[in-house]
Amino acid sequence: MRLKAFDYLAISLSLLAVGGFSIYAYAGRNKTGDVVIEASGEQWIYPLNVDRTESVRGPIGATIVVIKDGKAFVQDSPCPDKLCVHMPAISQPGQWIACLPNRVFVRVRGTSDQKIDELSY
Amino acid sequence: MTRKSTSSPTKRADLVAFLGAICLFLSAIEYMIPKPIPFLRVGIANLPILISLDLLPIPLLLLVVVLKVIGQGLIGGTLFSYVFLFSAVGSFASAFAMILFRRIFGRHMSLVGVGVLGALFSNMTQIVLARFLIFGEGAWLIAPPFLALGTVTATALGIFAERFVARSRWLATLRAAL
Repeated sequence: MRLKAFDYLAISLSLLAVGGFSIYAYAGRNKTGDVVIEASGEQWIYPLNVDRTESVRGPIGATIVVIKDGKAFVQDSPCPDKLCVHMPAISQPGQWIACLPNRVFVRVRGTSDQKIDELSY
Repeated sequence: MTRKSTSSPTKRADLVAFLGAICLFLSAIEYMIPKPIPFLRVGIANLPILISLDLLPIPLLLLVVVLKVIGQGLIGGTLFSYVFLFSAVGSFASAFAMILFRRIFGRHMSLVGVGVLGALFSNMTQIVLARFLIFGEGAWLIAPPFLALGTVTATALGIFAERFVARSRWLATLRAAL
């Protein structure tokens, strides 16, 4: 038995669909989103997948926001109780960190906000 | 033998019933194969359809598909659940695709290509259905493994079907009789 020309075409088409959907479903969704930093009436947007350290100026000094390994957290802030520094790193759309004394608000803005929590049959 | 005296339409009806029975049997085999997630199928119940593509007129082929879908629903216990909708829509999309491609490209495409395209259409329609009825955007996440497995199993089934059609004496006598 030998495969014919259109057989290869059909199999290629099918594999192409697999590849296309893999890229769309996985690569597209790995882009978890952006980090939005708001302070002093200004807004900065950074991608979550690029590591960087930003110093944000507020009324009482500079708040250091770090983006590392797809997560964002406040490394240091001039506020008295350091609540923002103790908040866990954020990565999912909708999560946020706020430093009220310095009026800095950090949140993750998502490109994919629909995620399955659980499935049952 | 009485069989020889019966007319062609009766033989066709016999064949449809027989193929439907084979579908039921293969559905039972399919049901026994362990799977990580439901919906995932090897697709062996499609073999009778693949084999009879050149044998039966389109209405009778679709009748075999109806029997196959009902058989699958009975075996899986999903006849009156939403799963049945997926099964039916997928089976018919696949059947229409296979009939169409067999009729158009038959000379340049063996049952392997026809089967692969059939699997592709079945999976795609079911994923699109899942997108709008159950999972939302998450449905696209399950697409790659389904389509990948479908390509592999459909190729294997196509090779089997092609060899079967070429060698089966039962099919040869049937072809002469119909």
